[in-house]
Amino acid sequence: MGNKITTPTNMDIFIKKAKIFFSVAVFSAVLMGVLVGSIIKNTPQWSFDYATHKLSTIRYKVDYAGGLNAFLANVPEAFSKQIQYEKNSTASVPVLVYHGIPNESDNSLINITSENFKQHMFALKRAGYTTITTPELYSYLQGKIKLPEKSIMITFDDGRIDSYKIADPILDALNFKAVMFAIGRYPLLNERNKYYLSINELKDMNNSGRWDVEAHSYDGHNTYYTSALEQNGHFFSHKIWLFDKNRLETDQEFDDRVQNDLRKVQSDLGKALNKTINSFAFPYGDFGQNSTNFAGARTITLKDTSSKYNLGFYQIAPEIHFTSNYFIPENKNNSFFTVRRININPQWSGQDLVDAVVKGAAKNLPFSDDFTKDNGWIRVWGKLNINPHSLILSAEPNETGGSIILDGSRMWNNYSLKASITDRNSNSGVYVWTRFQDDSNNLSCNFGKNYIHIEQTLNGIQKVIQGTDYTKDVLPVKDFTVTASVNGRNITCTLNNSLTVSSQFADEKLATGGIGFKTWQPVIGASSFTVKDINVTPL
Amino acid sequence: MKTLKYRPFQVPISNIPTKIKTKNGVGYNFTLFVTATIALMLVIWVKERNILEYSGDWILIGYTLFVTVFQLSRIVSATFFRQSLSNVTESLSLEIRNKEYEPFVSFVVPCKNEEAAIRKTVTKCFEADYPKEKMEVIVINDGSTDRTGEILQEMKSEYPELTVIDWKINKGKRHGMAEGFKQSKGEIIVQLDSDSYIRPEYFKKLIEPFKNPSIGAVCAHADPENSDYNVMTKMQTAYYFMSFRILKAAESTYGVVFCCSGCSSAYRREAVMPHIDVWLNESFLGLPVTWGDDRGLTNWVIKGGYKTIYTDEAKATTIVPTTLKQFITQQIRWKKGWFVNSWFVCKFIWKKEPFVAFAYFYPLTLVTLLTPFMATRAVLYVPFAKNPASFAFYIFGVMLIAIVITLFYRFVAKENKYWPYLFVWSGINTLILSFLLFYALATIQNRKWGTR
Repeated sequence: MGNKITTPTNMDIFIKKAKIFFSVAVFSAVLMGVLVGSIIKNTPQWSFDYATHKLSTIRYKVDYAGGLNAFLANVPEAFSKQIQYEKNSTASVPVLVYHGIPNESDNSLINITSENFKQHMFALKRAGYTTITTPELYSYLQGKIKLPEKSIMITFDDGRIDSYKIADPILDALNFKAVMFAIGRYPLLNERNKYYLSINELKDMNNSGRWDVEAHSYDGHNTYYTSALEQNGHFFSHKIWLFDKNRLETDQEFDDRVQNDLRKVQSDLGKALNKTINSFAFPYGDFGQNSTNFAGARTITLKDTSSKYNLGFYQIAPEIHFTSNYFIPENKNNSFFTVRRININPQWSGQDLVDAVVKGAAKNLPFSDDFTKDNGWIRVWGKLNINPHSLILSAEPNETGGSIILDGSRMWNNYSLKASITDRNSNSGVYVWTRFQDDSNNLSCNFGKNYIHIEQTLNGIQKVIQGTDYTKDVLPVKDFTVTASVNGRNITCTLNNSLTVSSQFADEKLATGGIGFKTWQPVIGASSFTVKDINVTPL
Repeated sequence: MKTLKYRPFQVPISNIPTKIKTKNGVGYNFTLFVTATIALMLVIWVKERNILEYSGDWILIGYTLFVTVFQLSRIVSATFFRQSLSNVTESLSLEIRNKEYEPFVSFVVPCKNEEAAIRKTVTKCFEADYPKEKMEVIVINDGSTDRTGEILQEMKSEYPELTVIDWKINKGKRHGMAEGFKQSKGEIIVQLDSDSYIRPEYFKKLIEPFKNPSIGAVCAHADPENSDYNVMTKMQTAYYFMSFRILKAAESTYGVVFCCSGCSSAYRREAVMPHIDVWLNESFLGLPVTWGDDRGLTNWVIKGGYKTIYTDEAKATTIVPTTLKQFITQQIRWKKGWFVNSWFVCKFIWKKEPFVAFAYFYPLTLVTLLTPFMATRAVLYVPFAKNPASFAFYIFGVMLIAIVITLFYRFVAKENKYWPYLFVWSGINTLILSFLLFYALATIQNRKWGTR
């Protein structure tokens, strides 16, 4: 059939032009689109995420103010950047550790719901806390700066997307800052991942000024083989099974592996984020302070970490029992500090969190406790019961004793502790800690059945520095008082205001330290006593 | 031969205003421009979001970008429409242009049981602003069981130029059309549905483009006559306008309108007649094709090497379904017709019109076929399996495109008051109508007209 018109007409020429024009127009439009798209992409303020972040932030501000009306009434205050709550400087810095904030509660012990997290942050804000970053904490621990009273550090482990997305607007709404300890390999290997933050997100976080991105190992956050069959080792605390050699690592191999990981995450993540990374959080909080298959792990890991980082974060006992971090004058020249963190309980309400933080914060003298509530007694071992009006310390059925310390008493120096004791198991000794720094450094007044000893533990070495042994039993079973006084290098232990033992030769290193109690006797599961009240007065 | 058995009532043509609102031209257009810019930025934003969401799934990313570019490119084509249309006659030599052009015109109106509408349709044909001696009207009464036949016989005395072909048994629209075409003697054949008519004062504009010998078919602009009846008809009015003034206009820019609507199109005799028997006996999967007659006929004209165009200077009116059931039935029929004819066009268009084929036709076919799958994915699968927000986001994207189209719509036709219904249409089209394609394909062997 075919077209009757064989030569191109003017109309065909026009259509041809239209086709060319169309192609050019669409092509340029696509180019424009790509251009505008890349501009939008590179301008955070234009991004969808930024808009949703801002909306959420305002929502949380309104929420925090307690409704829209309250919010609008206080707009200037709510938006003002710095609200100085406290003028005094803080005596201790609590550090919180969070992990994920999944959309739905997974009832795990580490992940918190967004609602609970919001309540935690709101409660901290209402209680007047201000947040600090790792450089601030480092300077504080070196004594170079003082921090406002009620300073707190909020940290997140693992570098998870969910925790960032949920927490960020909440932090923004409250002018809070937080630290994100990211596992290096996921962002650095650029693996597509819906669980871990990408390197760009980490950059955005770090650049926002709201987040301090630090290291949580390059690739050491798994469980590793400790034998051909058992897979239960942690990277920084266990020797790992070498399948090719059919043996465990040597000390040197352990050291090399730990050093390599520490170095790689510090340099690679630091380079990618264009910052110096000085803080490291040990995966699982484990650097060998706990049970391990390699007794030298703690020493090597701390040596390696301290040679590269300023701060090493952990959250599991028993390195140091006190839950807050203190400026300790003797340590001011250190270039590395381990930082104890409070592992939050996802089920805590906002008030529970504040209570936990207050319990762990530095306590002032004079201090008295009649045990109507738990003021922060930390069980080191054994069994602790705080019933209204009494504290019962006893041994577990398979142990010989038990011990507790008072949280927040770490920096006390010259004081006299008087405790009313009763219901002592007739063979148990009553040991009173003073100047307790940690398990390896402390003084104690040991009231035995027929002796009073002053014991000093220094760098883990126990020594009785003074003591009196009596020919008959001196320690009553019911209703007696024990006193332990420390003043400078003097220590005095008194039973019922009558029997006294004292020494003037407490070691200088033990200039400060907290209080605690210990019960002990050789028969398993038997030792126990009850403390009715205590009074600590400054000297 | 539309779906209506009865006429609800006659309403004035409301979307053609008696007074064009004098909007401040510069300010008005500037507002449209600014809004369009914002909408396009949002489109880019949404696409970025899509890319992130589809993280690395290049098929999905490619598809979503392709669809967006394609949808918007139709607006680009539509912007050249007006120039292209005037070029149809202006491109001719002055000699031909200035010569009076009044060829003999035959109206062919197949109908069945249209007692309520047929009188008006026929009357409007005769009222056309055109020399009476140069026109005839052929009505094919295709086995009507109501008074249609009587009315036509009455009208014969009134209009001697009226030819009535009376069939006692119903043969189908295609046969009616073919018979009318064969009996007609006009150089130009105007085919009308029994419930539609070309507004007489604009009639010459429908014929004028045929001055250009390369034009094989011209489609007039059709607006529903019963626009104001209910939400359904308002929505369809908005859709008709977009479908004609934007989508057909875009096709017309390149002289390739794929469907010259049955309600309002004119054909050049020599472009149609050679194909009329093949067209009449078209079959698909072994059964005769009963729907998509207008589309089919247009495609033969294109295949024959003629240009097919749309003109908004000639205006027609038609009746659109007023109930959901009628509407859905019509949509299913159209989709079947679209599918069968697209298959037909696919096979030859790449040789005939490579540019239109690859820049327009194949993309359109692909998008139409994939839309129900992508919509299923976005509104059913992803919200339940992954992210509930995906539903809202998809709709947001669809609405953004609707905004851009609406702004163009407002630009070319300030007076059309039904534009808000385009959003309703967009939503319904994406969430409901696109899925009808599945049903249409599943029942493609059901060749009933399915109107009553």
